Amino acid sequence: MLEVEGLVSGYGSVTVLRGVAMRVEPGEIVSIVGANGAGKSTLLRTISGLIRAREGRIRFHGVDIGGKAMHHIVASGLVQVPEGRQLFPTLTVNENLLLGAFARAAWQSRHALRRDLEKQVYPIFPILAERRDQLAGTLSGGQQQMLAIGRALMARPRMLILDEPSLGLAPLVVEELFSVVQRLRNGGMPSLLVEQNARAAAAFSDRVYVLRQGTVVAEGTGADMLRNETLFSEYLGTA
Amino acid sequence: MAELQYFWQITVAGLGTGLIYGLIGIGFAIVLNVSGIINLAQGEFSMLGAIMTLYALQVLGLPIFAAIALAVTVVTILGVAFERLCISRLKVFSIQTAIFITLGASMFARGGAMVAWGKENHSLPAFSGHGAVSILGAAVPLQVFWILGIAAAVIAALYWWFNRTLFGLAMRSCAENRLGAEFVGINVRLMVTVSFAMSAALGALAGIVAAPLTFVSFDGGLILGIKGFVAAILGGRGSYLGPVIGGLALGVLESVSAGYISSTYKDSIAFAVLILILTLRPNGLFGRWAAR
Repeated sequence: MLEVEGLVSGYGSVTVLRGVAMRVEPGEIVSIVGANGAGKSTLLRTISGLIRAREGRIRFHGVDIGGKAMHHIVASGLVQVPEGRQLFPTLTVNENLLLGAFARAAWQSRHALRRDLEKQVYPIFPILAERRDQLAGTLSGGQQQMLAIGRALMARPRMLILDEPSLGLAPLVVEELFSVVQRLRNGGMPSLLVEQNARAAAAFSDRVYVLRQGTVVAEGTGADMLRNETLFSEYLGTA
Repeated sequence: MAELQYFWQITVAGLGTGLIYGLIGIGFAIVLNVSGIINLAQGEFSMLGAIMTLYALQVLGLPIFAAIALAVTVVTILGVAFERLCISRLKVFSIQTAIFITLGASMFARGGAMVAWGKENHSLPAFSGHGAVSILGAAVPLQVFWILGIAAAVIAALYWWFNRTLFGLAMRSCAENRLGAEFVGINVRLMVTVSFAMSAALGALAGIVAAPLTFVSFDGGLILGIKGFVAAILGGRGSYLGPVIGGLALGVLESVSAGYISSTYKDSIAFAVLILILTLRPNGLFGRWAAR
């Protein structure tokens, strides 16, 4: 579904990724874990088109998306829930969600999009339906993360990318979010996520890549990773 | 009683010019909100609109409303071309560079207009004659009703656009969080182009509808642009329709100071207000955003 080969990328004269290869298959949740500065976020940003790769290929559903503009990538069904959520704080919950559909339905009436909201987002996050007219900036951290995911879902993605979804959230909320990602997977929507919390990520992912200094140093199923204590202490520094 | 009558007359005159400032201010606000750029060539859109209407009227011999439509279209195309050819081509985009480019564009437009149409002042006929209607004793030129009608239509259309369409909402979202807009799949560069198109059209329309009350000259855009900018600042950052209120306030203030002190000072008063507002209320009278 998503295949990355020999990806070299970075900022300015700084090279962060030095030849990353990875893939996500249909029906999978794949996590990328690694210490700070390993290149996790850079990898996601390169995949979603925010930064341009210097070398290597990114294919989504067999189509080369490397170097394409972000709005083309979103329109092709690869949608990222960015780090820090990047919501529109003074727009309402409803407006934030509607904007999620922009790439596929810029000229559709807001009325038609409301029906999509009722079908695709509110059943998953009922709290957003309750808060629909509230400004996004007034939501709690967990609700904001739900809003960010809901907004991404409005694009009708074929695959979801989540950058640090658990950052700064209470464990119970994180569990709820993870269970949503699993439900989406079971419904046919794979996810790729980056997590600081490697153990939690390994516990609920199908496969895990360990990133270190811009290269993949280990790959395995979530269960494998959990069993491999040395991996955690050595590569992640979180014994 | 005569005192009151005088005050009323002055206020009505100020409201008329204030609406013009407001329209130009909205043009400023749209580009500023979407792209972060203060378009210093905003006033030149108004000047070009008025001059081109005059040209279409006198040289091409078009009827007035066809001339207006043509002028607004041409200025809109110029606005889009300016953004596409100059702003979005920047190798390394920075707001400061973009603002300097708009300054250059405004000088270029002024110089070009001077070469093409000369230095003298021209006058554009009022749309429906130079008559006036008395409202509670104040003589209101018919042209002011055109200004009022066009301003009302523009405000209603913009309200609908920014609040009821997904495209308008997307433009607002660029203002609020550019990165967030990119992640949602909004083509932010396209939105910037659209914002220039809208503000060019608005600026031209404002310049055209205002022209019969004053005159048309190659450098008339400069002062209109500054007044519009003050209206936008008064209206507040992040606000799309606030500039109308800002423009009305400025128009009345100017008119009152011209009527009671001296018309010599009315421009200095606009600048004094700008400085005061920027010092005391940097977010404007109605700004929703915190300074950042």
